[in-house]
Amino acid sequence: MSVGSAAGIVGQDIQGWASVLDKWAMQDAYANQIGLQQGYSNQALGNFNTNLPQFGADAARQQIGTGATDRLAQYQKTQQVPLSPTGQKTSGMVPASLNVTNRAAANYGGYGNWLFNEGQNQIGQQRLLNQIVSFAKGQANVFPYTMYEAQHSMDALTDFGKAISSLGGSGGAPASSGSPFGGSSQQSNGNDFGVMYNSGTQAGTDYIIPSY
Amino acid sequence: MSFIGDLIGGGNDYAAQAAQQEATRQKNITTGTTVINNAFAGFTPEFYQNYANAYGDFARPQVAQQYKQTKDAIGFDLANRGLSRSGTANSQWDNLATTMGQAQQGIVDTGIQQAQGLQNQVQQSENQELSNLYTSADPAQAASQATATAASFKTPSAFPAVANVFSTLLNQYYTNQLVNSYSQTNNTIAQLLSGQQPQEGL
Repeated sequence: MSVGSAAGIVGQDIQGWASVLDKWAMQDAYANQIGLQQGYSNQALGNFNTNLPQFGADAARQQIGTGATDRLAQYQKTQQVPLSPTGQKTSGMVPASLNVTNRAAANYGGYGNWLFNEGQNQIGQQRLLNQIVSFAKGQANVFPYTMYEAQHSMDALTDFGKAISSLGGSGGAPASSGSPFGGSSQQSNGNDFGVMYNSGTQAGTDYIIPSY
Repeated sequence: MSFIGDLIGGGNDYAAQAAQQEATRQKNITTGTTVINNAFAGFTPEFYQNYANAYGDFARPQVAQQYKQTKDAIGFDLANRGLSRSGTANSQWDNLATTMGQAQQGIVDTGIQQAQGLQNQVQQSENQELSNLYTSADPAQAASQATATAASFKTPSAFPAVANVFSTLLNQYYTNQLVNSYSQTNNTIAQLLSGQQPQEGL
């Protein structure tokens, strides 16, 4: 084996390893992003689970009861205030009748209190979720740049391999080099975002999506 | 970039720049959210209870005035017909007192309704401020807008005038009187036609 051939093989090996390292970096970037998104998801789920009991039947019963009690107290308090200096004598039926209507109105109004509280709780929960969603979206927007960087993290090594190959005069002929990696890496020409995910000959065919 | 990449040449670190911008955005949103929450911190349950009470204070004198006018009208009419001490009078006063009690219930309910409506408006405005913050990620702008909005809610607003809560009772009362007068007239005509002397006081 001539020195030129050896240089070609070593150069191809280096390029092949650069490609493998790129893929590993991309896998890491993907795993990191999934981890981040999972964290946001867990945060949202925790918030949801914490607030869920507020929307249940038990909470409704409790809120209806509290609302009815509050309203009844306010009715009675208001009706104790004399509105006219000269009242008229009434039969005993009036206080009894008002007592009944007060309770009925308070029970009915208690449902209104519950619905109102539920609406307020939903607003509060939605606020927290909106913030989590905003942050998750923001992190997702960073992901393409992270992936692009991972994809090109070994460009320098690829260039180095090409340089070595060129010493042997076979830099542009990987198929005949005998290298176990065979092809070139996914290096792009400059910072071309339009081919950000041009994953080369190997990446994309055997890319393993990690399971979480 | 990897250590080899950094060693040999590096390049523009787009990911780090984007991550830095996102971290700054999230920090701004967190700061802005605190600022907005502080601006709206004065809207406590006590604030809304006071608002409901304010409605009660506003409505009660009006209802009291309506009560007095209705009481006077019924009292005058009963006396005019010589029915001040009668079962009819007792029934009328009971109806008036019951209607009054229900009107007082209505004052409480309307006060609660007004307070809940205000609370909804405040919450919607706070939501809008938060939404603006997520778009702009500008805590200073969020602070000024939230403060202005919160202050606008604290400006006293006029309650609507209370409708006459005794109108139904009065309508019913006057309708009964009309029916009664109509019956009396018919009886009188019938008696005259039959040659009898009409009875007085009917």
